[in-house]
Amino acid sequence: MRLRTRLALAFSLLALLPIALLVPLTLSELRKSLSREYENRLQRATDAAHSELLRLDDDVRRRMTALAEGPGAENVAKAEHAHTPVAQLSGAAVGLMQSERLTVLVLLDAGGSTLSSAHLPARVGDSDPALYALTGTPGVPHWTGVEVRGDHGIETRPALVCAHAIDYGEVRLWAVGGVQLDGAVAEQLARLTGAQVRVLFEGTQVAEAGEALPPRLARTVEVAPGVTVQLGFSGAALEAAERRVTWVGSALGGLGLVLAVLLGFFVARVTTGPLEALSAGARRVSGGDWQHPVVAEAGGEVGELIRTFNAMTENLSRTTDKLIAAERVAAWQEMAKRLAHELKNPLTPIKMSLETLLAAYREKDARFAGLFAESAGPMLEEVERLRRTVDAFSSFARMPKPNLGPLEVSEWAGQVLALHASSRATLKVKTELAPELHVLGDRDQLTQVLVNLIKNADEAMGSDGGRLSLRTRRVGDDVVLEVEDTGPGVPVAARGQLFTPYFTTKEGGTGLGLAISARICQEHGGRLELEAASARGATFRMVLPAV
Amino acid sequence: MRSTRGVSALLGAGCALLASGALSASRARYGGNLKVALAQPHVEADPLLADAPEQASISELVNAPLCRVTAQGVVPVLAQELRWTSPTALLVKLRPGLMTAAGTPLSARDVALALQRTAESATRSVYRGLLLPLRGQGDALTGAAVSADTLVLPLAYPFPEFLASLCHPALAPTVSTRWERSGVGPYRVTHNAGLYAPVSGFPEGRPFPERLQLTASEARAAERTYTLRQAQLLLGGGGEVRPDAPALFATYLVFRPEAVGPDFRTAVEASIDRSQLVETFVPRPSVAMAALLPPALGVFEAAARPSRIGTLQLRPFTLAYDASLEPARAVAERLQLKLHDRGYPVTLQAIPHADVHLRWATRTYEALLTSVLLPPSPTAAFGVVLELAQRPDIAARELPGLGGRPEALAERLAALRSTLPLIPLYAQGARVQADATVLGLGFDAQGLIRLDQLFLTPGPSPEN
Repeated sequence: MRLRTRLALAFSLLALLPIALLVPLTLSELRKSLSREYENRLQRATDAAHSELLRLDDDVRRRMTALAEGPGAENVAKAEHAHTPVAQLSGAAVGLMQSERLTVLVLLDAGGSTLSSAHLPARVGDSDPALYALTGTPGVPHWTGVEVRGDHGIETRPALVCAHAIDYGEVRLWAVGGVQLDGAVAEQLARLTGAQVRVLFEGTQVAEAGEALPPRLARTVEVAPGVTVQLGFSGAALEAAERRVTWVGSALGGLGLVLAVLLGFFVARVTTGPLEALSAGARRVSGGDWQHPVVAEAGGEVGELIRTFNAMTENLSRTTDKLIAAERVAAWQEMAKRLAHELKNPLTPIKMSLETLLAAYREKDARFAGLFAESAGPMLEEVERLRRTVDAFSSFARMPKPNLGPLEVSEWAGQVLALHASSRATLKVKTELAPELHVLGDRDQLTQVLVNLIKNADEAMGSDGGRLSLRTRRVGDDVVLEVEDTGPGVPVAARGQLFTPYFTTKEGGTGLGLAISARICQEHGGRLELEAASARGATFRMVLPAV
Repeated sequence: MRSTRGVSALLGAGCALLASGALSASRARYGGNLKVALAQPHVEADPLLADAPEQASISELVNAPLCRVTAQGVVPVLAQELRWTSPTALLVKLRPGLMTAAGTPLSARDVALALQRTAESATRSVYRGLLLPLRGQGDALTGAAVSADTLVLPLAYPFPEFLASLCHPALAPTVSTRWERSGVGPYRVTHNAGLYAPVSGFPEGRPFPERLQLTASEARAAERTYTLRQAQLLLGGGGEVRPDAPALFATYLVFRPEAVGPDFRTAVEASIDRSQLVETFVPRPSVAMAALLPPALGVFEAAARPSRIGTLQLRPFTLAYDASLEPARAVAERLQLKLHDRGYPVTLQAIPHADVHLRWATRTYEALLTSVLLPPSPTAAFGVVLELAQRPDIAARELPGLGGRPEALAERLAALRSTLPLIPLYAQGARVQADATVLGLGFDAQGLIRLDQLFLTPGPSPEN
């Protein structure tokens, strides 16, 4: 993974970490805050409902007092005093109840029999023990169950009722009335609290008003034993607010994450850009390109590093140029030295022979003819030697460009070996030739190389003979041809100069054979090398690009 | 025998009322506007539906019956002659020149068709019980008309009380016109709402008032109208009670045993006290009805209320009642409450008056509080009760033996009391109150108010 990617990921993770920690934490706190506010609102609404229910107590007390002391009640008592038939009194309670805005009213005679009932007219003539029992505590409102007609029959509903005596002469009637905790009260509570109100009496729902969208949060007001008002508040608004907060928080978190990733990539790019330029420069330098310095804007340590690298490259380039020049000079010196040596060696005997002949000539020595005949032969040999040396040098200098053509290596190598290998009995030839190894090459030049290698091997093993192995094989994109002998091998000291022109370890060698061979291989895009780890003998390896 | 005495007493009372009204009045004079306040929601024009005494009394203004039962016996009204040609054939001859309010002549065939309406599916009425003695129980009367003004009604068995049945206001002949049914009466409906004008050629003579203005409203409004002297006559309202009004408007609790459970009758009988019901919840004139027929038709053996009852098999049921009748609502609520006290849930359902008849005819009820106007003849009334119980099989078995033998009726009523799927509750008479300017107020033997007999004394007219 590239440094830039690693850095970008690292920056993103570094940004993600605080976002991942802070966003949920913030959202959680916001939610808690919303919930607290919502809870407070619910509590206030619940308290308001409770207060409203408590206020009913005073209302009922006041209204019943007004009813019992009003002329309507007195007229009923008066009619009872006059023994008016029950049928004529039965409707009396309705008017009285409506006048005081009550929802429960029953007029009882002194014995507890119902004279008139506004909330349940059918009860007339019957006793109503539950309501009559309240006459024991006149003027005190009580929560009790009151029978009323419902949609599906007689139902018992909770009501806050209060008993009041109505006296006319010796006649005493009882007015027991109050307010049902019915749909109207539930509606009023629903308007007050904004909640869905359910009135429960002894566990059974008797009234309902208002609506609350789910999810609902319930609060219960215990009005009296068995009388409960349930307030159902809609949590939809809270849920929506929490959703909005979550959405906004997530969006901000996501946006922050994206920005962090982008920033991470930007910072990584800014940070690694000079390093990548430096890396590319190093690769160029390693590839031999000394001419292009690293161009990148960077400060600090990286900038210093680039500047130092460029300076170092420049120094190295200069040093290398000097070294090349020095090596070139040294090579020329070496070549000149060897050429001089090669030229000087024949010149010395020629000079000595000519000096001997000149002295004999000047002294008119009678042996001059004999000496001349005797010296002329070696001098000619030495001159011939000089000529060969000069030809070889000329040949090395005027190496032609290879004429490339398809060449099947194993077949060609086999033919060359058959033609040029020594036929001595002591020499054993072994071949390991892989088929179908094709290269593009100049058949003549490559033959020159292979012949050179075969002859070197043959000469290295000398008259004692040995084994000459010729192997071809495919290694990657290259075709490898190896020539191995079992001779004494190449001395370690000579290995470094083996392919240097005019370096030879052979008596009478020109020192150009391997140099020319190496140059031919280079001209074919390949190389010629000496296997370094040979325990005995020498193995030369010719490597050519396969096609 | 007792029932015979009852009929005699009833007829005697009706006669006395008419006589007393006539005696108490000064000389009747024509003219004046009679304003009538009706303490009921509406007036039914169809005689088959206008069966409450007040409604039937108003209906008779425009739909007079063939005959009327009086102290003198059966008096022909639209009929000129009512004569038994044999014990099982009654000849009815119409008065000549009878014209309906719509201007069409009333023929014998129209009368036959009107009678047959009681058995038709669309108009099937409990008053078909009046025609049960007819051959085929009144289902095929089109051949009864022998001429334009004469029809012969064939009976399946001798049944002398059939003559009184024909006088029932529900059987008043009407003719179907394009828009409504119209009959022949002492008044005709004018284009002004509630305004009736006298008909000069009515066989019983032209009514005295020049106009009769009827205003129908709910009870309190009608009573206020009367109290404020904006009406001279109050029908169906409270106030002074005429104890002489025959209470023949009988209310029954009809039920389907399969819907309410086998112990329904026991539960109801144990739960209600009819005397208290009448005293407290049913306006007077009213009377508890412990037997299948009201006391006005005789003294019959009443069923004893069950004193101690155990657990009863009673299903939750819906009790439908006539929303137009105030006592029906109060009684239904009382029944509901008393059954609730015993642990039996009852749902109430208020339905329009016409729907009560429809529900009964189609048996689409579980329990139904319904009222019928019984004829003044106990044996004929028995037929109506059997029809109300929807037991034609019992009618076919019982009625032939009772025709002309009223003494046998009491025993059969007692025997069938627990068999029929109905429970008698109470009977009501017409409620009427008139101020001093109205004279001639009285009831016929059917218990209807003879509005056509009223006349006004000279004096201050009601405030407009």
